[in-house]
Amino acid sequence: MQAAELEGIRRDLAALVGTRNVSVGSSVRALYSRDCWPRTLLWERDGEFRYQPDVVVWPNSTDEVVKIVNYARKTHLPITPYGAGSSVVAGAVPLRAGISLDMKRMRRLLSVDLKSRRASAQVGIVGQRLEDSLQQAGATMGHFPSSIYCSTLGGWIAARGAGQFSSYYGKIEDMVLGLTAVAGTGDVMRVGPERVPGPDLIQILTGSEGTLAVLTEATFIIHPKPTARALRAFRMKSLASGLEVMRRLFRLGLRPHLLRLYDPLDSQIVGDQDKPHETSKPVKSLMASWTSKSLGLALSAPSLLNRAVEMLPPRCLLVISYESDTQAQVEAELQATLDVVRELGGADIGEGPAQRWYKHRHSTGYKQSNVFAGHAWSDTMEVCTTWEKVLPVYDAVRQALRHEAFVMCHFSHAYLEGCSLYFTFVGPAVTAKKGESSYDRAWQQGMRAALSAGATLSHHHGVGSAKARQLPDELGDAGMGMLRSLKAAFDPDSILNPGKLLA
Amino acid sequence: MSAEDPTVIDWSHREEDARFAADSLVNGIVGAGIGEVEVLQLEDGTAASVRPRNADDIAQLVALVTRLHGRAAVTRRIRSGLVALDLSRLNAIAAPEERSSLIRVGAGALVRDVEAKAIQFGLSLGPLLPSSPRKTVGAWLAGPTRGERSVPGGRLETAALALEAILPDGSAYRSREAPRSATGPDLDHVVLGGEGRFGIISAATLRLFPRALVESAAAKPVRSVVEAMSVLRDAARGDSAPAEARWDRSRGLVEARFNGIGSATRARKFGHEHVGGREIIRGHLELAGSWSAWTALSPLRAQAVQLVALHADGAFGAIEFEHAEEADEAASFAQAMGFAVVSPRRLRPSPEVGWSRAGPLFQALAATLDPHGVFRREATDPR
Repeated sequence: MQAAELEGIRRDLAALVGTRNVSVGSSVRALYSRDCWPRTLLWERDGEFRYQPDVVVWPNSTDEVVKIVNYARKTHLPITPYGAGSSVVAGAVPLRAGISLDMKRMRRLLSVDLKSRRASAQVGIVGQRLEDSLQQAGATMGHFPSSIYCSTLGGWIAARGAGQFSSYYGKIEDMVLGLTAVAGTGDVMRVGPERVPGPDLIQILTGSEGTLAVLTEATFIIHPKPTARALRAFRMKSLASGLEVMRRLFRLGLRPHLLRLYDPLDSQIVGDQDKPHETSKPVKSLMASWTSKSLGLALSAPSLLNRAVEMLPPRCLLVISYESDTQAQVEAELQATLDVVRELGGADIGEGPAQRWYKHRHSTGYKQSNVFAGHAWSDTMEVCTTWEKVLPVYDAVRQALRHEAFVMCHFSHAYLEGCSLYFTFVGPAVTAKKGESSYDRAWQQGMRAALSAGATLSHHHGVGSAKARQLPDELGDAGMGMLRSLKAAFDPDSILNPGKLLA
Repeated sequence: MSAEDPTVIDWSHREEDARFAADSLVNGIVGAGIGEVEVLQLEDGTAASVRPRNADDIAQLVALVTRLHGRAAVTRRIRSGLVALDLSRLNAIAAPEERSSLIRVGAGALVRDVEAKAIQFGLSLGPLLPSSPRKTVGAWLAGPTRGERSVPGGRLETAALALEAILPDGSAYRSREAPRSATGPDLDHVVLGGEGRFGIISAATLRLFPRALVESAAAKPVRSVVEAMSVLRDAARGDSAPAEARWDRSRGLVEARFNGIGSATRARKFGHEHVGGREIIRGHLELAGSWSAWTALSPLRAQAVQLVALHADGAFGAIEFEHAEEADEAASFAQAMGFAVVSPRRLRPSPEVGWSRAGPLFQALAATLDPHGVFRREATDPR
């Protein structure tokens, strides 16, 4: 786009939202060309900013969002809603340029009513600020994604996100009671918090990834801040016995806040001993190379590494916590857990690993770039399935990826019916081109294997652009037809987040 | 039906044309030989009631009705110009998948038969409103409760883990059997609670709960229904909501049942020990509402109230009156108080009333999801 044209757009938008809320500056546009999709990190490592928006706009109100949407309809400029940029599936990358709509100036906490268990906020509020404000009022949202410092309420809702305590509090779609959103038609929708007959439009907007409407405000369930907590870690003899503990706890009616089982390799990396430095030597040396260039070389034959991993002891680490309003309650729940663990041959290894997990639970976020500096790429794939299919999905994905990447997995976000499998895989990227092709192959093979074994493509990261081509394999023709019908009704001009969900 | 669409003939402006259209529709259905067809001669034309054998039959029927510019609905109330689908043959109930606490059922199966099968395996659908067991699974899921029950964490969750539904174009939508997913909007919710407006549910995979191993009941004297509802609201917003509860004017008691580890402690916190029976009330009126609505219940002159699906934001409940006729008047009051009527069906407003609150987009949604209006409702349709 020519400079004069850009300046015209800037002036038009400044007239709608004020000069200080619009930028066409080159550094700003470069900043908004990426989110946490690892492929954008590969490009960024090599100094490439592939998908830059034409303009970045920071609205302050729902009315301003309406004005911007109407302007975009008139000018055919696409809008990519942007929270804090932590999408790992390119949900916030402006694939077709246009307007990056950064919602972070809509960050007011509108109401907190602990008595009625409801709070409302503008969706641009960053997660940790929201939780801090709620905690000051004696409340918690119960939504603690590892990205809590670099994600927003709106991003959580748009992507159907999950927090680390979802086994108790549920995912974001379980928490949202009401939404205000601006459709691609410029219409303002207000749904909830009171229940109305008919399809639940909240569940249609939640997970719509900015393709149907721009979310502006949300009302959600809050809880009294728990005052008691019991933590424990266990060493299970095998992955199967660890999964069986998780399943049986839910069958007993228990709902741990934290429930996390690591596969043998992930257990070694996390450290399944009471002290972290007791991690085994081969794994320590691999971790030492994590940020060095030798990592890329070591990963040039991932199948060898994966075979070596199979020689590891099969033991698995399980960490668990219960929270409640009384110590007696959490102790009773922990005692019931101990009984199940013992029955399945597990050993109580104390609080250490669970305490360490609490300490480092938000230390991921933007930090994944370290591996990229080591001539490698890394990514995560979180799928979900029912209990009887968990191990088959685990085996199928590892088998599919064994020649492309070094694979580990943990199991969390449990339900009575099943759980999420969170694969972390690391592959070689000695050059950007080779890295990209290895990355794409790994993803395609991993997703195909997960779908064939019966899992859903995503538990909480969303689809974005990264998984959009595989979405028809999950939803089928009829599901994709419904999605297209929703798009046609809510965003007939296709201006909202093009290239996401519907590739 | 769009006036601008040249391929669509508007039959409805003249009575004889409407009769002709209805006859043509029925002839088309009979000729196609899909499922078991019963033809009925009504005063204003011919009607067909069809019993499909499976989802494929429904898909073929819907596609045919769309081509013939007719309307189809799952209903037992026959009406000229409407193909009434009776899903009673889609009543298969498979043995539960015990490891995952799931059961796969046809939409025509009765909820009480599903529950009976689940109980054989130590599982249950959980406490339900009194009218729910009499419904088919399809009607339960497409109705105002969307098949929701309460789960720990103070929230609601639909029993439908996955669905199969026939869409207005005759295509079969099937969602994946996963406890949660982040693959776009939850498309199940286009049909859940949708009263058949955007799709006909043909099968479902339902979540079951393990039957409670530990259960404790407690009771507390209260002076009024408002006090009873306030007590239950506070209990539901605590660490663990009661699984079900009941208030009875004659006894002046509110009772609550708690399940699971720690239930005895919760019951003690709630009130004194209670060993009363589990009799189900005569639910003359069933409602879904938030606690602000339940705690303002006094104008309805209820004799007894039974609550299920208690969660942080509200509950579903059945209300018993001294005289059944009071339900009609009470339903209007209840809706003004913010309740959604669940049962009886005749007192429920059309779903369009609720959707219209979301603004003009509902019309656009109806036009894109059901462009030929095969599942549309007419103002005169009996409910």
